[in-house]
Amino acid sequence: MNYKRFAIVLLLGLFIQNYALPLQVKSAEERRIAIVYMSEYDEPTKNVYFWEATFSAFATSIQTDPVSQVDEQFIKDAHTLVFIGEREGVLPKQFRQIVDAFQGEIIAFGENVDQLHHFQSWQMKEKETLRTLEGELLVSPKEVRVMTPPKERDVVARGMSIDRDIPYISVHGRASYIASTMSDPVAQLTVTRWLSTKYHRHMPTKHEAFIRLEGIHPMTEAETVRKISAPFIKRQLPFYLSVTPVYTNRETGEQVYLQQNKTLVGVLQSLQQQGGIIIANGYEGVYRQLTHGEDPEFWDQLYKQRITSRVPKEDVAPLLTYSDFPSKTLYNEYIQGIDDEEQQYVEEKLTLAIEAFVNQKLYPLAFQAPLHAMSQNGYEVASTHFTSMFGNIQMSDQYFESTAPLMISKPLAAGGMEVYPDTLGAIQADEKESLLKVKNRLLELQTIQGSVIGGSYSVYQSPELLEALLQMIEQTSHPEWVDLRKRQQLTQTNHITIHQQLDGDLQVETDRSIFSMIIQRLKRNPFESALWLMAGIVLLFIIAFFVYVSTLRMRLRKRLFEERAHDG
Amino acid sequence: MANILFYCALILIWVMLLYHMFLMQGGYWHFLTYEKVLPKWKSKMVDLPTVSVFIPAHNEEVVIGQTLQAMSQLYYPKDKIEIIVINDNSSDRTGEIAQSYANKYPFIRVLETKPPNKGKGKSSALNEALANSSGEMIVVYDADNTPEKMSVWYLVMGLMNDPKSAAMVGKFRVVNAKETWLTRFINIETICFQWMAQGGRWKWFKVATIPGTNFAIRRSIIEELGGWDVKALAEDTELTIRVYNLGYHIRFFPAAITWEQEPETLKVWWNQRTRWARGNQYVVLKFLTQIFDMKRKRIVFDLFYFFFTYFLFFFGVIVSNILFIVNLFYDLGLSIGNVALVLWGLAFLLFLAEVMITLSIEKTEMNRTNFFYVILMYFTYSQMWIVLVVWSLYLEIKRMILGQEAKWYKTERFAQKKKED
Repeated sequence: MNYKRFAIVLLLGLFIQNYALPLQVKSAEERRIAIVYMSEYDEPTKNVYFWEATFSAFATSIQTDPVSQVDEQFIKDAHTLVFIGEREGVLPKQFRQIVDAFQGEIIAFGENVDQLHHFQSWQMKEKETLRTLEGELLVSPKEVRVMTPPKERDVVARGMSIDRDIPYISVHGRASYIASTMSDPVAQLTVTRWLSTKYHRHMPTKHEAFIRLEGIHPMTEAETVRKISAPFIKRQLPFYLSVTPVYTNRETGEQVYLQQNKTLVGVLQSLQQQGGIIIANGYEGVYRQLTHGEDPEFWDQLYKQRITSRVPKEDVAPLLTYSDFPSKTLYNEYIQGIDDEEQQYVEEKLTLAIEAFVNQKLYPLAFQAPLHAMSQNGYEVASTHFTSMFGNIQMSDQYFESTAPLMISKPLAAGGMEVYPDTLGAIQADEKESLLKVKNRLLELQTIQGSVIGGSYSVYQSPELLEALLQMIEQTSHPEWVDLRKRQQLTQTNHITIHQQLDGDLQVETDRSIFSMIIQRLKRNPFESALWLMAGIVLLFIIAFFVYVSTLRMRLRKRLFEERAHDG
Repeated sequence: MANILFYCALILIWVMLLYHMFLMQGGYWHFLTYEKVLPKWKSKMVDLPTVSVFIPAHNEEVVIGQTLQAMSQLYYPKDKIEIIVINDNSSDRTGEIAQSYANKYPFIRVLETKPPNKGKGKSSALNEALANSSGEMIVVYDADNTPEKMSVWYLVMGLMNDPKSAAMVGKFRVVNAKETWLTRFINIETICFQWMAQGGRWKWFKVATIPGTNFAIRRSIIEELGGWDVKALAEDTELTIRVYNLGYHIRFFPAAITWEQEPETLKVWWNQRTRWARGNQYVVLKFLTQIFDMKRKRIVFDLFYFFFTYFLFFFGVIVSNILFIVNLFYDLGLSIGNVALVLWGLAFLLFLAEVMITLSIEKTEMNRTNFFYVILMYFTYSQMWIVLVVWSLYLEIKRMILGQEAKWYKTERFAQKKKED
């Protein structure tokens, strides 16, 4: 009997083990997050994009939709539901029912959470103006929704108005609440820190790090690039060279191409062999060749909107909004037209950029939008050419304003590219206390497990300061330097594939015909190409003319010989 | 700004160079084909027309004798040819020498110019002869020419067989080619000009320019045109345009050959070529204003060619040279790459190839000495032309502004030592 009972328990145990084991593994390796937002016109806002980017660092899969479009299917397999309430309003009944039935955890930001079943035991209060968060002053005071959790100990992070204590992050059971959707730097740190603590089991213990050498273009002195790269080579560290393959003189409109600076190309090729990784920082770097102010290549700064025409026009109509159209269909048709135009522009520039690099035996493994400006549609297009991008992400199609999540992630905002964000920003050597600022930021980042240490450093700045910077990062954060040469990367155009393998092997395949290369050259520099074409034709004529000369000489000799023979 | 100027210069220069390259190809083909018509044309040489040969002469005592000696040996029925020496206000023995030949040969006579044509230049002299002659065909030779025996016959043959031609233009060669370094350059230049510009334009466009000498024109045409333009310094170019405007063409027929003297000193060369350049500039400016009224558009094209040659091309070369020199001392930030150097090299090679073809056509002219002269010519003689055209333009503009009368420069002659082959 005992034997039988033991056998049953054993079988049951084995069954449970076999059944439960995959579930445990699944939950440990996978975290599917569904993000639902409620905003004006159901369009994702910069806050939505930012939080999506942040959550994507913790998720194995993530999907995002406006509240009006959410159905059961959408959150069926999700482990976590994130609700971002950007505006006040009544939640759709279907959504509420879906959420009420949802068994996973819920993280809610901002407005309207009181309408959800999970927060019924919470107490909603009047809005307050938040000034500090976790003792840090916000960039600007922000009005937040005050929701008090059932128990005081449920408050995880607190803020302050002028005179009142405000719960900012609270957790009660499966429900968590964040008092605002804002992506203020302090809020970014606070929420990301909380999330990394929450999910800490799955985060790496070391901080990944990279420094991007920025500002390299065909007019850059090769020696400058060589010198600034020396600290990395000395340490045998991977480093990043952000290169724009065409220099555009905004005063004259003249352009200088990478192949025209053979010395620079030689140095870049050499650095590529010594750990340098090329990042394609756009193609020409500018869109309109504005003589003053910023002029990002993938953003129309003159009209402060996304690219609406492949060739910059003097008179551009401002982008229309949903309210300008009588129906959503007409609006969508209009937007599709803009999308197509922008897509062709970005497509062409990135194709030209990749080709320009490959022509010089330089192989970009990642993309960077000049001045970090690009629309969501632009990032979508870029993601068809690159698997990774560096720098900040522009989180809105309405404003030229970019921000960086604190983790390496694959956010929706970047069209699915893996983003290596500038968490340190651009390091300015001319600022006296720049290193101190960097150190403070490093310490902040250290509080967030798994955050990345990333920054850019202009090649025109001092190599000595860079040396000091590297020392500081190494001493403060014990970084693990990001090496894209040891990660799978894919850079491609219709005719070029650059495939970086995990084992460090780089495969480059091109199937460009001479004809297509000629066409490309013609497009890039029609006048000079025409001159080369003319030179070719002239050369053919010269050859023909010398053949004529030879023929005439032979004919003369023959005649003289015949005359001599005739004369005896 | 420097870049724009450089690109403009480059375009102007290469439009001309490409056009000449194209002409050279035509010239070569013309050389290969122009003699093919001879058997057919010869068969029609019956019932020959009367011919008046005009030789305008002003103080030509040094050369007129040998010219008339050559004229006396022309292959043409003597009862159908009259050779008229137009003695235009000569103060030397020109008239006397000419008269001695007139006394000896009945088909030679001397015509003294009378007011208002007297001493007014070549056009006036030719008009005088036109009024005092009767030949159905008019042939013109300069006083220093020694035409080959068959030249008039070939010129007339061309006109008899090509009814669309108002004029037939022969080829001229340099008799004193080996005298000085300058005549060597001129020899190369004239050979090149004739096969490239004359032969090439004829082959492609049925266009040729009447030179000052060795050409035949129908009396009916020249009378319809009202004779030669007495104001024109380049009366030949001016006449060419009027002939085309009348609806005819001018054929380059290199079977008709004459030998002529070229300037042996720089001073003579400078004065003669300045007259030519100014004459052509005058023609361009005269006809450019009438361009839309012209019947024959192909001559409009030719006018543009002259306009390009005497105005734009040289402007391009000068600008390009200035930019090159300035850039040696001050970085102008020229953005053009290696293609500019390649084009510079190709321009030189093209020049070399073109000249070598034309010299090879003239058989023994393509020799080692001339090869080195061709190379030297690119850097010396060709550059002298730039200065000359600028100077001519200055004089012509000055003349137009001040309303001055065009002054005919009489080319100085040199005693001929021997005829070269």
